[in-house]
Amino acid sequence: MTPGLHHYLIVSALLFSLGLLGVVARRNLFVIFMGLELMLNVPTSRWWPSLDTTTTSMAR
Amino acid sequence: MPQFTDLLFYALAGLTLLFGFLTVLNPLSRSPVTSAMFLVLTIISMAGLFVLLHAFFLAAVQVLVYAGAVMVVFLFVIMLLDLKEDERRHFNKVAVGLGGLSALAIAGSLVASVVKSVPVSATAGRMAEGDTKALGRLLFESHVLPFEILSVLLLVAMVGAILITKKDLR
Repeated sequence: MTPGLHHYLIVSALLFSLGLLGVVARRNLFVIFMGLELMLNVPTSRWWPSLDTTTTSMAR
Repeated sequence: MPQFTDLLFYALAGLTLLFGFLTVLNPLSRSPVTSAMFLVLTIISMAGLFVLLHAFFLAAVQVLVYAGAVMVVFLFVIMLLDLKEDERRHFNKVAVGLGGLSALAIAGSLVASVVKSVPVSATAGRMAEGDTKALGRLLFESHVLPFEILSVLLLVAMVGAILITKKDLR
């Protein structure tokens, strides 16, 4: 099955929840930060049809 | 017959998720340095996903900024603080259980909403003008004010960091 928007969104969702798992389950502050990075890094928001809207999600 | 890029997507997505899991819950090591290394691998495979979306600039920036700069800062701080007792401490079973439960719940609801709201046939609309030239034009023409505000903000942060580290300046 050719990967479409669906597939990318689902990968992003799973990655986001992995980041959440890291934030909740780990005690080390740095690993918590890394979990946050993982959550913020998901490719979800890069999906808008034009570049004009994409820049807003890039300005993290 | 699946295309090569399709297989590439599945491989990269699987690798991203695997490395992401190893970042947060590595069964073999609790060292934050190992986590950081796996985060680098996660980010690199994510950059591969961006390449598949024809977002080459984003992929390059992802590798340069995240896998390069941000992770170096992370490793600096981790090694400077030298948290040894963290490696001997075992995972908190309750926290892992609750975290896994909440992560499962979030993942379930997100995936369910994606499945519900996005038509399966929706093509992965690659960024038609995702090249660096178009991006630069956009940044310096229509978004020039937020861009400059961001640079001033970064300058303020830099000056603030210098001021904090030099206590005898006052």
